[in-house]
Amino acid sequence: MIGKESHRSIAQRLQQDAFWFRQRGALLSFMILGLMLLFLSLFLGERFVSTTNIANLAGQLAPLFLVSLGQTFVLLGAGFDLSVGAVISLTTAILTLDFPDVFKLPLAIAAAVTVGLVNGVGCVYLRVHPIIMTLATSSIVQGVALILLPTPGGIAPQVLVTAASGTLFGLPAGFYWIIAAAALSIWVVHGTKYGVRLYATGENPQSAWINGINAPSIRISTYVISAMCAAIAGAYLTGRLASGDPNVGIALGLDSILGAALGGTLLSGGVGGPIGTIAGVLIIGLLNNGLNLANISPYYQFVFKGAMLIAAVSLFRRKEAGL
Amino acid sequence: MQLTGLPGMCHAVVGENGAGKSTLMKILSGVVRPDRGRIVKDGEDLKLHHPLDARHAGISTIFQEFSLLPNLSVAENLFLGREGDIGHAMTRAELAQRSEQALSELELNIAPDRRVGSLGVGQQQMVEITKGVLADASVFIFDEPTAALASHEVDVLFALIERLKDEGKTIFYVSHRLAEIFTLCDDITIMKDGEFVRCVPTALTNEDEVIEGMVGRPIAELFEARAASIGPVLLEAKGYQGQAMKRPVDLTVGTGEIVGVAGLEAQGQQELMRALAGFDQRRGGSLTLQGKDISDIEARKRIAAGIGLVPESRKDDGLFLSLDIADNMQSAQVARGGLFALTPSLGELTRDIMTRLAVKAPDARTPVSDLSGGNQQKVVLGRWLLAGAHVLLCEEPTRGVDIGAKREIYRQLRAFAQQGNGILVTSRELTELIGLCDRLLVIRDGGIVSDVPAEGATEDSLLRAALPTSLDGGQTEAA
Repeated sequence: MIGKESHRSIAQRLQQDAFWFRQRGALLSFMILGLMLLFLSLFLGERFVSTTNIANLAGQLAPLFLVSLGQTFVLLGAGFDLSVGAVISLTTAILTLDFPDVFKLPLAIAAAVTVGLVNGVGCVYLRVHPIIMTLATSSIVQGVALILLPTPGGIAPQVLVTAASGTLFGLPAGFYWIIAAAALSIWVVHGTKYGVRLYATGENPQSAWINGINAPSIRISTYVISAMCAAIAGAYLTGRLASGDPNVGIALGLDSILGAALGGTLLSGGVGGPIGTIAGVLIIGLLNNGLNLANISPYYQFVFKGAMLIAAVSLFRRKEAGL
Repeated sequence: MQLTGLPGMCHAVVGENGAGKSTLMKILSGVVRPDRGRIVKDGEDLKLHHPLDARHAGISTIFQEFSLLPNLSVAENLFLGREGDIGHAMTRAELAQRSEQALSELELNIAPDRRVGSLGVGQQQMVEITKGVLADASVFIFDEPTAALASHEVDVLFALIERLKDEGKTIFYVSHRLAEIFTLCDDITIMKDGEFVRCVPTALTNEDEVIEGMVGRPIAELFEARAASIGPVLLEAKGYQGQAMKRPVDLTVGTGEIVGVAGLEAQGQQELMRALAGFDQRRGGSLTLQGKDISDIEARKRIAAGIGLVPESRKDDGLFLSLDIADNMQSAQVARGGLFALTPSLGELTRDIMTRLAVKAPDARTPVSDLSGGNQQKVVLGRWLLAGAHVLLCEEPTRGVDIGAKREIYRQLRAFAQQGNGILVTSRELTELIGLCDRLLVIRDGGIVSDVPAEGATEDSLLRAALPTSLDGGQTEAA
């Protein structure tokens, strides 16, 4: 017998250690992120590395952070949530209704939880494919948002305006939203038994069930988490815009999947996590910001994002993962 | 169906594949719900609707189809679903420490943070066993625990089971390997076609009687007669080495000959077979088939030249599970033509081969996913009969199939060889290799270390060749 398996190379550890294996994608994403940071600060200099720009960036990116982290839960459970954009729209519509503020926030959260439950139950118990299920709810929810608020307008609750666009200790509010969301999701995924059960369920719900895990509840819970994250993103956006916009969420729906996928979370479940998603979202943010600062047409972002999604999905595959 | 387990006793459940052993065990472990009947433990009626119910009732199951999650670590797998069993949430360090302790009791030297998917199939099975015995249970169910284990791991398992017996636990043991049952178990329950046949104390029966009960008819001889004479060499490797192989290999397969490759687990058997089949690029040496050099041609063209691979994992590599029998059998033949070549009409031939192999299915349009393991294996064999292969490379041809199907497969392999063809076969079961083959090679650490006639070979002599020489140092770890 050999002694301990302590003398292993980094490559071996990445392949053999369960934790590092699941975070391999994140490692790569952070490397790419590092290169982007280096590149942007070298070429754009002061324009990029300025407090105003970084504050701007944090403010702009907070909603994408929130929905991508929520989406990460769904993807880890081998699901897919296309309805997050519509939930954001619905939230802004509800929050700018002509209603007392004390009712609007609970109402918005309740609406999101309902959407999440419907998505989860449809996918898990009715066995509708997640793409179809969430596409359908997305259409319904977006429709309701447009019925409630046909054109941009309305007035946001003052408390949200302060919470989304104020500053604290010289840092913009968005920064704190990001830190809170990231810390919370990293703790849930890596620090609780819910996290382990989520990885198990995403890998193989049947095996998870044999191990005494209530896999259906876990899967439904991911859709609820995702919808709630979307609602919080919607609340943030409402505050930041200080009014409602029934179309504000549309672009964020697909970007949330892009953010998670760029961070190394496999669309087939069980591998990846919120740490990678942080890098993935930052990559998208820096891309936009860089194009913007370099005076290049912002429409190039769509071209680059699509290309990056293809690259990410072909780079982080199950085969490579040996699963 | 009736089954009674007593404390401190090991009760074997045997039967052919599809006899319902695994289903019965799944009912006892709460995975499948019974249609009718009762389960009574310590005088109490049990209602098992969920695997958790069985766990709470003190029943722990070591599953045949792994219940392990390949993306989780060993420690996470060991305590999955019962993280809170010790009264409070375990810290990472506690988890690791408890896992190491549990693993070391089974003489396993695996780091707890190792990902289960990165372990070999034998080690995974040992982890599955560790997980099963970690449970605080009074009834333990072992469903085919040794199918993937090397012999020294089997010894560890048996010692463990003896210990559980001494502690007064009740054990149900499902296995195809009768020799194990006779060394380990106190009683044997025989099942056939989902029904109870009989239950006998091991001391009052013998292997032949048990086989008779399982198959429903006397079995004269499991294996066919060996080849009377071997014709000219069909397949010859001279110093051949694929990229994934540790060492170059010399071997020959003659006309009418079945050559076995024996060895401990993961000594390069699979790499050898895959390299010969052309799935791995050549690093050196030469490979000839019927005198024709095929060293550098790819797998698809080697099929055309007459090499057929029967892979170990039927479900992943061997079959298209969603397609029917005919499509599966014809796939190798179709692979020979170009992309737009006309698909030849093979219906007649397919039906003929199905009859010859005694494939149990309503017709050639039955999806292979509906077939039992033994019949699926026959479909893979049928593919190569249909494609007119001359040399078959068979990996573990009878893994997970029952005795009746085993016999059928042995018969077909021998018949295939007799028609002027050759077979190279790997197997974990030494008795099978000795009975089936004409000549045996022993592979150790990627190299062939012994080449003897199968006639007169014993498990003991093969094992001695297969084990690393005493001063090899760390070699045992890989086994």
